Amino acid sequence: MSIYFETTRRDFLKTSLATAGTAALSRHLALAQAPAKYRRYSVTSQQGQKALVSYAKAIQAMLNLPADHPQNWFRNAFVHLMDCPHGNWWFYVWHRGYLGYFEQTIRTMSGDPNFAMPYWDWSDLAQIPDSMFNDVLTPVASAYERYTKDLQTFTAFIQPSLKNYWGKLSPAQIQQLNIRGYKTFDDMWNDVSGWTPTPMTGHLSHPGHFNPENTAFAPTPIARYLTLQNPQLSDSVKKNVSKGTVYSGLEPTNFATTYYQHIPIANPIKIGFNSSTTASHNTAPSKGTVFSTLEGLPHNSTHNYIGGGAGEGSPIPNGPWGNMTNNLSPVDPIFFLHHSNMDRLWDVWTRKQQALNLPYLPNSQQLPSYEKEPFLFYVDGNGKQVGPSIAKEYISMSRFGYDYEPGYGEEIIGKRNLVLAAKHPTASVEGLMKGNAATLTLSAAAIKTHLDSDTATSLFALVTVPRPTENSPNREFDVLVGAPADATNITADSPYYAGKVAFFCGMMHMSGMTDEATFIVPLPKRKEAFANLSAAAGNVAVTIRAVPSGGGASVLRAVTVQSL
Amino acid sequence: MSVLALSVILAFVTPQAGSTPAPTAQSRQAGDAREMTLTLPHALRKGETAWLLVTVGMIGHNQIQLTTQSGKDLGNISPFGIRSGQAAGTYTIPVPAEALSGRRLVLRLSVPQAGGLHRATTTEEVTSVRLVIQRFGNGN
Ligand SMILES: [Cu+2]
Repeated sequence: MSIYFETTRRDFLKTSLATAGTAALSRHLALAQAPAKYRRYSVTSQQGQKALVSYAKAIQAMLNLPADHPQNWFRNAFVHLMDCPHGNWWFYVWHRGYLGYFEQTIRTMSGDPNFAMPYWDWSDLAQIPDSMFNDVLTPVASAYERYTKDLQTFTAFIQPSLKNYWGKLSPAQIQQLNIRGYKTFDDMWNDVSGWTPTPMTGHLSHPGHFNPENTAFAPTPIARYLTLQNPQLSDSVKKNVSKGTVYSGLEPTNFATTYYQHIPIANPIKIGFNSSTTASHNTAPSKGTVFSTLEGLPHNSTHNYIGGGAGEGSPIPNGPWGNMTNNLSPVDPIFFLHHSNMDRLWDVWTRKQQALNLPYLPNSQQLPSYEKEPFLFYVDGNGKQVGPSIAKEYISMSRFGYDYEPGYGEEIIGKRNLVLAAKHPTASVEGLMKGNAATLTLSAAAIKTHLDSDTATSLFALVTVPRPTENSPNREFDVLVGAPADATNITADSPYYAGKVAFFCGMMHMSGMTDEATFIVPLPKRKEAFANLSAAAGNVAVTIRAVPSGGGASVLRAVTVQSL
Repeated sequence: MSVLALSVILAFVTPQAGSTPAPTAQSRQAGDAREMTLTLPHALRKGETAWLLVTVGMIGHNQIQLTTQSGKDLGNISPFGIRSGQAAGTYTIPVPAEALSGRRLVLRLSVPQAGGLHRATTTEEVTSVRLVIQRFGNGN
């Protein structure tokens, strides 16, 4: 995230007196996050173009790996074929994990420790970026031919290692594959080859037939439909990726879509940001599925058009289709730029919700089943099976330490009037400074409200820290709440950790500037940070410090805690 | 027949406010598209938006193109990740206010064909279309 709610203390006090203060505060809460370690840039930017160089290098290395290596280029695509959710509420979170680990793999394989996956913002550029036709960045490149020249070649290359992998799967993995409709290895392979074991009508003597509709494999020459000479999305796909449609897709305020199909009421649907809920992320989309606007329109049609699925003007109604039309789509390197943009839009939506003080997760009844969904097939940057993990681990982008260069959709954040924030009375408590630590007396009730809500954060600290100077060059500070005075090495997963505040180069102290700045940091939602809570009757004493991220004593200048 | 019984029958043959039970009931083939008139339950109020819920049958790799009567593009349904032999699900399509005339939307549904041609959708391909109002309550 690029923007900080930065203000001088005096400015803050001035605005907080006005009624608009609360709205302004809550609108910017979401912005008070630490800069991430990695930044995903638009592919059209200089940094995005630079990242493609590392990306191509890594793809080449992954193509060269043996088929039994989990980071082999095609093996990586099979993780998607065997496990990806579509048309349900785990679509975004599963792909966030898949991309996050893939990005780690690209770092390993390219030797570029700073690599971050660029995003393709099709609302701004409705064509495949030119550089995605270079070298191995397109699946029609000759480097792919050794493996994907034809189905026979591909089968000989990859099938033995996949069979071996299948044989070692855990019962839990097999159970998930069964839900997908893969009871045996052959069931899965049939989706690759298109083999359909039932005979065609009138050909009872034949044991089965090849169904092009179900063929995930695409031979090299037709692996991608669009070319450097003809890179544009069609007019109808352009409509789906247009700013108007994407804007509408960001509008819903519920996390998941609910549809009471059989109840004859005028408004049987509450459209959510995500597609409809299912019991498993492996539930294949079918009759009862409701696709969210962003998954159903820009996501789907971009996939299909790139892969050659019946484009306007040049449809290929009977196939064969390219990689992007099916679940082996990660064979086409554009997949990851496309999904990076989808993931970015989820982040935009989340911050929009936060700015409106609205929930950005499923409601409290649904949240437990959403969070505990097991994701069992990921491979990490070292080529190791991640093993059992759950959806909850991939909700936050901090899991992989990245953020996005702002792209289309960003302007929706904070645009609307605030509904909830304005209704709540605000109270603020100023910290008593002793040395560079603050002690505050907070009401136990306010802390309980803050801790009890699954999603909403109601207590925030306005933390004032010194700007970096030549003598004191620290730019990053960790805000700690209720941490023991002698605690060292407090990391982001500590219950005392509230957040990191940081200065950019441009925020160094210059003459005419105040020598400090104030950041808004949500208080931790962990009861360890409020040690005396259970014993306390009315008020609880809380200490807050701000320590340089590299280590050292607190440098906190002032703190005020505000409740919304 | 009692008045009550009559009104029950009417509820079946009269389209539900804001929805159509099936395109067959009120759609007609109009050249290269299936055309239908949908009506919102009430005119849009401040903070409300109109959406189409389009339920699609088994269409394989085909697509459904949605336009207004005047040819304004509303969106393109292109199923992805659907296993062969499965219905393609329901799609949520935003309808810009300017595509409506009052409470009414005249919608045209077609399947793109080779050479830039289109044909009308069948009732198996698009099994239901509803025009609904959404209010997201985000203060707009
Ligand atoms: Cu996808």
